[in-house]
Amino acid sequence: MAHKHQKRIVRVTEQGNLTVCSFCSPEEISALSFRETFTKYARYNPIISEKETLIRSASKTGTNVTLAFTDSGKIAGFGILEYPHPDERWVRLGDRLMMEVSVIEVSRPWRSSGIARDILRLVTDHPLREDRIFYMVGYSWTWDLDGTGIPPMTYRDMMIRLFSTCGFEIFQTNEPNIMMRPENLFMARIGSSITDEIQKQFKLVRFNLD
Amino acid sequence: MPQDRYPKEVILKDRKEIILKKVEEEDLESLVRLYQDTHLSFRWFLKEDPCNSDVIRKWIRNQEAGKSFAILAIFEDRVVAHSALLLRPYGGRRHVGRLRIMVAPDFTGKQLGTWMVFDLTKRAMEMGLEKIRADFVVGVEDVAIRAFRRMDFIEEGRLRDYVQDEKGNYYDYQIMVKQLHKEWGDF
Repeated sequence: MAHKHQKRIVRVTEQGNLTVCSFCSPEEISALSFRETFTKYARYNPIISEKETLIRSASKTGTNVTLAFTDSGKIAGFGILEYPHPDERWVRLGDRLMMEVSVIEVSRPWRSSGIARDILRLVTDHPLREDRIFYMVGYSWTWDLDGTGIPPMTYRDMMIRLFSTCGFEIFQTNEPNIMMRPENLFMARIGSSITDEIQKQFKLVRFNLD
Repeated sequence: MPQDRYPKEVILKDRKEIILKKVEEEDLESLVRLYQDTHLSFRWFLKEDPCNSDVIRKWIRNQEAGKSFAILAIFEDRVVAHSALLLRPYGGRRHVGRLRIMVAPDFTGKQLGTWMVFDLTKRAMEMGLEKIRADFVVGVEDVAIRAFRRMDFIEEGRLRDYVQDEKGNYYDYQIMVKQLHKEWGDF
């Protein structure tokens, strides 16, 4: 049975129809094929290269795995919204207050057709979106610079434009992995029900001063 | 546009909240005040006197002409630091930006300078620069030299007895360069 918050968008592209579907269940993911569309390249490995990883994520409470797939059942893109790992500083803000768009990926042949925007829109269309701080971290070493043929700063701009459409803003942080490269990026969307007190705390956590 | 992504907020080690913003015409007086309030021992080696409002006005015009990009750090309406990336729009040094920074003495040691250098490094990359150069007076700006070293600036050259103070003492001039990489290596 489909998740009660599941939503679907059908996008017509030059390469055929793509269905973008949120809150995919492990069973729904299992029924789709993955390997053909997410090939590893010499200078780029998708963050997720096995369907099992998506299935594991989809089985976690509250996690939103959003997929884009063809009429023949091939996965062409995916996004995951999930709670951060217990080792991450963001959990210090409070119990399940922050959620990360931990991955958003579109297979090379399907890029530049607006799929990422659809995936992001549905992956952040979460029933708790106003009660949570959604965030993303952009590490340039995970970006497919080779496939896009653009320099890191241009890729960064593309990410900023993409996430801005869903209300994300750039925030400064001294998180060491993000500070490691100037083009790395941290963006967040603060839900409208987040109190001033939590926002203040968020500020301190960002600078490791909590 | 990337340069429009200001103001930005950063929190210092002592929890002071700082706003980083682009320098604009209206900042002239507060910028002059920053330098006037800074003891001569922190600024005698500069090439021009920023306590003179004409100098600051020229710097602001340089920015408008695309010859520099400068930011300010503001704490409670007070300008507490100023940093600029000086550009060469023409010639063989177009790929190099020169970085200059002044942090009010009561705001040093709190990572404010680090944040500003980090921010201008990003800006330099956005502008397609390949190197950032920063020069320091040895024996006067040693704290800055150590800090820049930790930000991957390499000591590329040292000019012996190049700078002279009012008493006639000579100081070495240290040139440091940070290489900006467009992409990751294939190692």
